[in-house]
Amino acid sequence: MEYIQVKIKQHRKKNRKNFWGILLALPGIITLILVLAYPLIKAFILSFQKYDLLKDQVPTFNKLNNFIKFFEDPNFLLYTKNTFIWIFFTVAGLFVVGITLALILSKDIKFRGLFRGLALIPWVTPPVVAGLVWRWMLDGQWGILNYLLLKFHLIKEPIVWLYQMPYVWICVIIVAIWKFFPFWYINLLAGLQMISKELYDASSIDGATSLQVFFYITLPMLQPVLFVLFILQIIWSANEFTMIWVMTQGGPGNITMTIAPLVYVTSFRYYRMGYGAAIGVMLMFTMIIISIIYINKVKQDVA
Amino acid sequence: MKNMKIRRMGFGFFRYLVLAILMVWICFPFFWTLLSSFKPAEEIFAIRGGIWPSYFTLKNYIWVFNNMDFLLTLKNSLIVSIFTALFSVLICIMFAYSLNKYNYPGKKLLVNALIVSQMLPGVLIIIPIFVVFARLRLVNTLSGLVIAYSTFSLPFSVLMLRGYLNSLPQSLEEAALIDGCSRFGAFWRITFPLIMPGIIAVFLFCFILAWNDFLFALILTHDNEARTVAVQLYNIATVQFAAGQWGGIMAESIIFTIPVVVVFVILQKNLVEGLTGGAVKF
Repeated sequence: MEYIQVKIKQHRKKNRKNFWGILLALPGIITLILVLAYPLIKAFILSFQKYDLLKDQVPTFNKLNNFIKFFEDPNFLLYTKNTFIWIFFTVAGLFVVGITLALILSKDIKFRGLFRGLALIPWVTPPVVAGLVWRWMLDGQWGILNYLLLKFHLIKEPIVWLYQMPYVWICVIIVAIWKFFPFWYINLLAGLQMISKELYDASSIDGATSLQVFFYITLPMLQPVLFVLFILQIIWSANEFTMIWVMTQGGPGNITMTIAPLVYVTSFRYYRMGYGAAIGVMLMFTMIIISIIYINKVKQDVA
Repeated sequence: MKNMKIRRMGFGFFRYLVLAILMVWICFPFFWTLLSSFKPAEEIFAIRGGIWPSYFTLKNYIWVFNNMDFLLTLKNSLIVSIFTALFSVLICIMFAYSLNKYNYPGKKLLVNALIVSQMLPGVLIIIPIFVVFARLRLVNTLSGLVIAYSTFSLPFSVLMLRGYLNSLPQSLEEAALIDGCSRFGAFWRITFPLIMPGIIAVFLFCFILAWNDFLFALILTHDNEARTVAVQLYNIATVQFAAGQWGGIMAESIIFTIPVVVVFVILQKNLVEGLTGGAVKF
């Protein structure tokens, strides 16, 4: 009898503990539901509705029309291609810049602390400022880049960097890499510092070249960090709006329009909320599918 | 052996060359912004005369501080960022503490939801938020922005602070409890001081998120009542492209960036540790 009573008491105590735990988490959970979960569901519903703020008072269901409309858009292929170009080159560039800088700054070189600090400049620059400053430097008439290139006779005529193919793509991607590489570099530097020195010593005794060390020791040891960085960056690049918008607004024409700014234009320039939501939902599901495939592939490779 | 040495030296030189190129690319925009912000207006455009200004002037900064739009939006940005940070920290401490100390059904799901929610496209979520906020009359208000930013910063901050809490041994609070401290007393006297660096890092992370944001402010505000500096800066440079004011735009960019730099320099270590330790680990 006594034993049971003790058990009940323990159980009550545990329940009370649970209660406090949930109570403490509650304000956070409620805000998350109100401003993230609910909008997500609402966006999903909106994507099946016609809701043109300029015409419609209330949203009305129109089956799959929004999705069909997007697939039938003559620019559909262009937007999709742009988004993949954007994701591929930002991720690849960030990987190259991030790992190069992390490798150099993990070695014993002069003024290492200073360089490590300077490498964080893009990170502390607000995205709008980054976009505007680069736009100013790349200006066709008064930009410093044209001035320097002309002065050293590398080009004969000024180039209107942000209004010409393929320069506009190259510029936007390089600026995005400039803005986002510190996150890669910091994480890769932290990853490099976790690799034990003995591994390097052993390989140098065996006479491995620097390239061999890089491909057979450094890269495999960085794999866990790289895995997370790749997946996060693919998603972040796909969702990126500010850098493209501040630099080109998706222009000239639609040349640099990716899906994320397209969702903005559709919803907040033309006020087609339902159609915009449908494009956004498709973007999200594509990203979910790509993430799942990628995660599974990495799991297979490891196993 | 000699060959090897030469190759090493060549490699060392190559390394410095790459570093130099990267550093120029990284630092030049900052240098150029700073220089342009002190240039007299007539030399901003007449770049043909050379890079270095013939004299330095504060005129651009005076222009910025005489601009009513800037002052109003600066006030908005400060209010929104500070309240976002305060609000988030409060919710975040409770949330992270609950995840760290208690066990309840659905906890694992909650953590996973926090991780996944960081990946939602902002441009998608903002559509229904705009629709709902319009109905609640929260569009173009400071409180609307605070609500949106606090929620958006929450997943990352909770995971970051949880990382700090997880690194503390559970026995610390238990010892205080055995000595007769109440649960809250144990938290307040033992845990709170220990996770202070984490709390400050969360505060500043949220502050910077609200300060830097462009997308939400662009959509949720339409005049100086609630507009933030990010949008105002974009507007003067793009929409109302004030001819000849690039010097002013550069000066405003510098002023706008300073708080972020200050915050960052104070907390560099915490923020970097939080980023690499707490949040990225799945």
